[in-house]
Amino acid sequence: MTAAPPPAYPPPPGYPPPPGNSAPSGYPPPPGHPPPPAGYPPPPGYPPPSGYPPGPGYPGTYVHPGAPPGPPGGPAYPPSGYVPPPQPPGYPAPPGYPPPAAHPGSGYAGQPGYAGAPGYAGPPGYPAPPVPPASPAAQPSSQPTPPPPSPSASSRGWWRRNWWALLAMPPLVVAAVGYNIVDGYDKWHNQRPGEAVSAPAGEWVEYADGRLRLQSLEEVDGLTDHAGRPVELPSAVRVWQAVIDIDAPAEAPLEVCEIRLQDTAGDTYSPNPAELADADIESFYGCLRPFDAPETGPYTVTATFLTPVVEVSGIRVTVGTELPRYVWLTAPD
Amino acid sequence: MSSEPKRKILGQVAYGLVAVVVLLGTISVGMGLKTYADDVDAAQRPFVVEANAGQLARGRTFFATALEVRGAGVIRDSGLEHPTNGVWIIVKVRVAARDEPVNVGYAAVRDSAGRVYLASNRIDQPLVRGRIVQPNLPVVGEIAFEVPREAAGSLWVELAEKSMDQRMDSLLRLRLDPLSPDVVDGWADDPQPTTLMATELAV
Repeated sequence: MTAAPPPAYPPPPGYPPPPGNSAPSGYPPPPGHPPPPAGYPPPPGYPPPSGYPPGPGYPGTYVHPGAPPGPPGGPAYPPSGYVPPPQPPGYPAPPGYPPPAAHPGSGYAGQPGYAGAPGYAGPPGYPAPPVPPASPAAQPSSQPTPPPPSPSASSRGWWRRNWWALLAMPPLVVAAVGYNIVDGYDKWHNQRPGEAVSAPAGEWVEYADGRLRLQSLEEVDGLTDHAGRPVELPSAVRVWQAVIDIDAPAEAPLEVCEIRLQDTAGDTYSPNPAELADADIESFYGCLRPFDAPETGPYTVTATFLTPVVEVSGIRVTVGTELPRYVWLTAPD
Repeated sequence: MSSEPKRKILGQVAYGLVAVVVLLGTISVGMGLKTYADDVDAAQRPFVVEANAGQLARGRTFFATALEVRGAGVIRDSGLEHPTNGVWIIVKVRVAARDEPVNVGYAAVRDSAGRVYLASNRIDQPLVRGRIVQPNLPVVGEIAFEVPREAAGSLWVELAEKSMDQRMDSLLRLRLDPLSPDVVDGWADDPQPTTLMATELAV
């Protein structure tokens, strides 16, 4: 007898229809589905992928797809009492393909061991999807597990794809703005007297290609002008004179020094105050050698300061090219 | 083409479009900031400290207070008389250094129209350009400005340490009491010469 053709099933998503032939196209009905009528040729064995054990064959006569149906009255398929063997595991999904879903509309939940497993059941007459070669050691002995799909670059998370740029960003930001910050700080730091060079009170201090020491620092009163008249000053001010010994060769950087008197609060006072312009005191021209000093050897300069009623602590000497180093001189007791 | 690769390509195109939009947006924001942000002169402008007449203005290196204002048509200095077609505005100020000696190198008046008149160099200015003020020893002195009569009605006195470049440093701006045109004309038309007071300690 001639069997009616079984209902055709559409190919799984992503699979083109099987190559055309005269036989009814489609996939064999899944387990649980009504079996094909007797006399219908058994489904062809799908060649297992490389590394897969051969699937169990159908007993009985094999009929190649496309061959004419068996003669009427031939042995029914499957023979009575035959228990169909379990289906082989599905083939792994091609790269980039999602796992196969249950066949729509059939109520088919998938082959045994199929649900959730990657892979497609090979359609009859359709070439098997490529399977990456697996090492023999990695092959399980009984039920081989298809290799997991490798994640593509686009399927990875944004953080994972850009971790290297994120990691490089902090040092790049520091490098971009750090130089200006450090350079600005250095310029500011190097223009201010911040590193004191000192010695015990009354001792010589080496500085700016010369050396100097504070001979005395005393309060002065009873100043007069060049005509011998007393210099009138408010009672709330004090006059101080610092006598400094200097030993420096001609044209040493020390000659262009700047001298300040510093009080205990940190306030500084410059020499030659305008209020003492008429006073009969020794002129102060910095650390230059006075005209009446010997041409060689140490010489002495006297600086006069005007302060409010404060307690003084010492003399600060700076040379612009030596900053931030400066000399801190204290008077001997 | 199946739906999955198609969706993937569309996703990549959308990703690229978003990246381009973000890039263009960033550039636009930067250009906007550059357009509307201060230019160099404005960004580096002085730190102005304002005070009314008689009030103390605290700068970075010194303090100042405008005490009085007077005017004249002629100033006598070093035996010479210095008349003006405008009016001499003479401002008495009190200046005190903060913690280091300081020289008030810049003194000017600004009128209501924003015009600036520097302290006159026709005469010797005993308080500015050379006078060192010591810490804790405030001084009182006068500064003379030669300005047009119409500018003298509403003036601010500006003081700073550096004479040429006041950028990024404090600038004290002291408001003077408004002057009526009659007062200004009276000063300008007075033929009697006046002299600046000597700068003296105010302790």
